[in-house]
Amino acid sequence: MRCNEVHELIVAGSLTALAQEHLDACPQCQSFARDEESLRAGFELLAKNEVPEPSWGFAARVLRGLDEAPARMFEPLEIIGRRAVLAAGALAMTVMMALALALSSSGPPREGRQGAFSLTRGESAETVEILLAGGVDENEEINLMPVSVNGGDSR
Amino acid sequence: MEYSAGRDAQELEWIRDAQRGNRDAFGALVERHQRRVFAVIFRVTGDRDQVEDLSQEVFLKAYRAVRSYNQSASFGTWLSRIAVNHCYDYLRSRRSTRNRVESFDGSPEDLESPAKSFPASGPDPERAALLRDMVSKLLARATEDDRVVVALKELNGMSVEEIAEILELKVGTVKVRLHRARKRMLEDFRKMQGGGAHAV
Repeated sequence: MRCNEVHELIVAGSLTALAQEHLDACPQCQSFARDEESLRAGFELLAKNEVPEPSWGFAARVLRGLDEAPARMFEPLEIIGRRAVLAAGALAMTVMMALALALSSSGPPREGRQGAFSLTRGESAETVEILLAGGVDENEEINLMPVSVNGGDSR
Repeated sequence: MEYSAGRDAQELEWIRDAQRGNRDAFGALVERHQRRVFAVIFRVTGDRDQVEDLSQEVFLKAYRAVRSYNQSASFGTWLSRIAVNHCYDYLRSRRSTRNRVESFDGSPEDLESPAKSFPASGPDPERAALLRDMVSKLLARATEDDRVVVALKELNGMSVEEIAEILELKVGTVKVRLHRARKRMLEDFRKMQGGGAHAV
């Protein structure tokens, strides 16, 4: 009998007479068997660790948790919803910008208006509305940079 | 788990009420099965600090799914299945957040544990503690599949049939998994001893 076969039987815990005979004569398999015994003993020791008891009022806390659960369940939908709204807003802004550019370039030339502003994606909707309304003095400087947390330039 | 007829009838009533949305009935089911869920989670994860939180999450999942419970298995088995699946998720996330636990490669101070001389339940508490620690680390190093099946059998004392029902596997498949898991862990155990007698 080969050592590997004996090892299988040792792990299975079902030594045959033939395997026992091999084991009695093979120091390597004896070492394997000792380790297997130690591992089993280790499992037994670990199994003696006491399972923690539920703390007082555990069931009541579970029931209270049920009230919070629906909110958590719909959280992913809310995130998707918020993203959809933002995406729709960005799309609407892009369409409006495209329309504005198309109309301004296809209409009669207006002095001083064409190319006055170059808009990029990400600019605020408020800025776009102002630009489309044409209610901005061309000489007035428009700050398209985001306002810094500390109040911006202290000059 | 065997119930008396009265206990069965009472539990069935709670289950039906819980399926209609009766929270008090579900609370009674929690009271009845909380220790079982705690035991499964503690044995599989080995994480004492997380047992209560994980158990609470298991019962929340169970409440959401209770309408789908069709009595093909006992309620306790059904809950254990949810608990084991939750443990899988937890173990995977824990593994992803830290390296594969304490590697014994190149850490000789962890290797000084001549298991050959470990008495199975001998009088030396220091050695027993060391062996317990080694086996605990072995479980932590094992794959989730190996860990679950070994923990349920060796630590939680479940029968192969119970484990098969929880994992929705054939009894033969569980036996094979258990055997392979034990063998892998034994090989790892021998490596942890710094070579002991390597498998031939």
